[in-house]
Amino acid sequence: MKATAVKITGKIMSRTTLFIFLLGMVFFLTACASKTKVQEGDPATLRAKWTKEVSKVIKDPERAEKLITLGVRYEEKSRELFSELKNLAREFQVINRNYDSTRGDYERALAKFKEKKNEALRQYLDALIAMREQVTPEEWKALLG
Amino acid sequence: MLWAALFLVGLYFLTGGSNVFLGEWLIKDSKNRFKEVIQEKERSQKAMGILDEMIRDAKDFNQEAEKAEKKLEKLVKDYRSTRGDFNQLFSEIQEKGERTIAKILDRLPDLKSNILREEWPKAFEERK
Repeated sequence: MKATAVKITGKIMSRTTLFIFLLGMVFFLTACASKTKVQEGDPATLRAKWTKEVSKVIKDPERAEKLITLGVRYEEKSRELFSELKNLAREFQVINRNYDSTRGDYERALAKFKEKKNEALRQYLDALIAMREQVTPEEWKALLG
Repeated sequence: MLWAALFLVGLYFLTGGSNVFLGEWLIKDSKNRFKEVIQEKERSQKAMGILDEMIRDAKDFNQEAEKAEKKLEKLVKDYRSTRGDFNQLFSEIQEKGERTIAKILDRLPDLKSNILREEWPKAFEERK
């Protein structure tokens, strides 16, 4: 499991965003026109696969249902956050293109980005722990296999 | 696999997609773009030197991000890992990222001093 799972799209390679990646990457420009496996496919298909996966491992229907719901909620929140992060990435593009951009411009944009990224990490952790609470160590291992 | 994919999001948020953004291919490409737009050899050479330093900073961060990814994977798989374990990892990589940002921003004025106002936007033009 590596960040290479983050797929490079044609958009990412566009010249306009080139310098963003040189500078912007260290601003944790996570959502700049990139695409993760989670974003692949439509939500309905993803949820169907998720349900199947969980049902295969968790035999207790009640717990399985809880886990499925938690996963779906997290996936929805993640999509929202990706969308917001993409908007912030566009702000960086504007800053990069402007020859007169100051360090303060970068730092202000970075602060906004950091805030959003931290929110994403909090949500991630909340979801992970909530889901883990629904399963046994053995089930956890099986799900991550 | 799907389950693992869900957690790739966390990994992505953690590292900032650093392998993508800091990829060597990408960084090398950007150098080519600036080489194309800077009209004077002397300024171009200076700019390339500064970009090399930026690239080195970026690669250093990439290495750290890769280590963080491995740690995250272990934490996710470990049923006993705590919120504190995760937060410590998040803080560490964030701190390293911010140090890298500061270094790159420090170099930006030098880079711009070797690139004319009219050359700068050309580096960002879309290619057909």
